[in-house]
Amino acid sequence: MGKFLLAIAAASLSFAVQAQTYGAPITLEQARKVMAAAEAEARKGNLNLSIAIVDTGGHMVLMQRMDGAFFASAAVAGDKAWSAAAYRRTGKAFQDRLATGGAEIRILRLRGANPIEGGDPIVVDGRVVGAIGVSGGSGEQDGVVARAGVAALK
Amino acid sequence: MKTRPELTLEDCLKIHAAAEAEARRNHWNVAIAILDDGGHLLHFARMDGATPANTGIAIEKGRTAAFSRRSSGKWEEMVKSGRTSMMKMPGILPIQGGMPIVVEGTCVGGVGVSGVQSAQDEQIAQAGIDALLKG
Repeated sequence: MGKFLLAIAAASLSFAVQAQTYGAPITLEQARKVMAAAEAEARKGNLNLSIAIVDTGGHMVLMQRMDGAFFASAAVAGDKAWSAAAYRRTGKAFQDRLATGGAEIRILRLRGANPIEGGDPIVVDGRVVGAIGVSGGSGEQDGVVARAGVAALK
Repeated sequence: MKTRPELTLEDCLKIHAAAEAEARRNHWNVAIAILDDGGHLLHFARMDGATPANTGIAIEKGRTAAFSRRSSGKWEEMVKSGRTSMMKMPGILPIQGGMPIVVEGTCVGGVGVSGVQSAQDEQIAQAGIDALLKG
């Protein structure tokens, strides 16, 4: 019975495959490693982006806006990071789910959820220590940069 | 056509490095925010040991200085002198620790610091700005 209920819960929240819990909040030193890797990826693609890193409470730890990035990107990067930390899932996961249409439009009503690629939880030893948000490029470009940042602590 | 100076990321990194160095020299753990002249975030870092609350406070102090073109401490003085109506100014956090960045007579942004005593927060912000202006 217990297993059966668990199966139903898993099915109704099928994108909850990332079953991690929170770990110790990211340190500034760790955040700097994430930022350096993300910024390098952005420069490789000649992109002018805003990159924000938040802790396990969604509170900003490190943020920078590159020259030429439009100012809304600063706020959007923070929103994407908050969403990824708060829901422990990527903006891409929400985006894909939303794109299936129908009742999934309900995702737009989830508090603070940002269903746009470019927000990723930062995972260390299987635990979410924070999240990164990237804005200023296309969703795909933001996503590549965010994942490059996350990979720095792998 | 009028032109105006604008902060680059390199400028922000210079301001931040000097401000953080000033904080570390004093063993203070703070959050430091740098904003453009519209009050929009350019750079932010929170040192380990500073609280989550310091994040929002630093940003709001910096924004106050950036888009009102005067220090948040000046706003605090106005309130303290009895002009309590200043508490209702939109977007203004009247607490010392936010300083405008003035380059060639033009305000190009602001620095806001939170984490220690307000006068010390301002000292950190000013150290960052001084490093920029020294070149």
